[in-house]
Amino acid sequence: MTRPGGEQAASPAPPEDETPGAAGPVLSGPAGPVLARLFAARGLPAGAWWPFLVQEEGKALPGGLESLSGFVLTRAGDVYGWWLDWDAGAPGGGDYVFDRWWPVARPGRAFATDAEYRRARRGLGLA
Amino acid sequence: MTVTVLSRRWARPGGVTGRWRWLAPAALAALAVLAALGLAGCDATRAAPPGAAEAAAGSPEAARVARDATWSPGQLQAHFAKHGREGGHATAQAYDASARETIRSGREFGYVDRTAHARRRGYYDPPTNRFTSVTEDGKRITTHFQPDTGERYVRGLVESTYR
Repeated sequence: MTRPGGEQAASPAPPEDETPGAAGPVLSGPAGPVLARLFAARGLPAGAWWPFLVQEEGKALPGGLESLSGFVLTRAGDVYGWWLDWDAGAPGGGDYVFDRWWPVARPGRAFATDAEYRRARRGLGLA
Repeated sequence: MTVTVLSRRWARPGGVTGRWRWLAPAALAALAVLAALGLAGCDATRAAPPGAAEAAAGSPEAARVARDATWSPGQLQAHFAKHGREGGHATAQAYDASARETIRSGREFGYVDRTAHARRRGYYDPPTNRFTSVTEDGKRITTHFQPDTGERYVRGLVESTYR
């Protein structure tokens, strides 16, 4: 399922995947499972996180994905910044990795005016 | 034009009586002063925003985004660490300036992030192969880099409107 065009303020009802309490965000393509696996490795199981301000970063990684950056909101209300890259030294000849992962202090203030953060909060039923 | 009309009126025989004739040069002088002040005021307004000269190359909206958009917490440092060398930027400040310059000088287009389906505004400057992306509302700079494949990269973004 594809989220239709980001913010649609005039839409009478929120898209299905933005319903408060929904199981989780819809991430399309091969990056979705990779992000889910890496979030789980950080202690964030499915349904407990929602990425926002996700951005393609132009670097083709050996595993086939493009490098990505973004933030993730957790069900506890915490926010972490991350950068998806490639660890050539990982077992099996390499693997995807968050080679940058940082907590954001006072996310409610830091992202107060970000529409994508507010959408993530709605998505996790925090709004 | 106002000066011209007044000049003709006072120049007309019988247009102005003798005792008011002294007003003509005074009015003209006052108008000249006002006109000069007005022009000076316009110049000062144009000179006020930093980077206004470069803004002339793009739309007023692009100039606004270049001036007001911010990086999310930690993102400028992360992006500079990852992409800074591509453009030979010595500091995060230089990298940030390059991102904003690309917004001012580049071609604006729209696209959708492939993974999260969020709409983005892109700015691509072909002569320098620099690309900057911002959120749909123009409030956040989300990245800045030099694509390996140049224009092909921005054309290939999902729902890219780049022409």
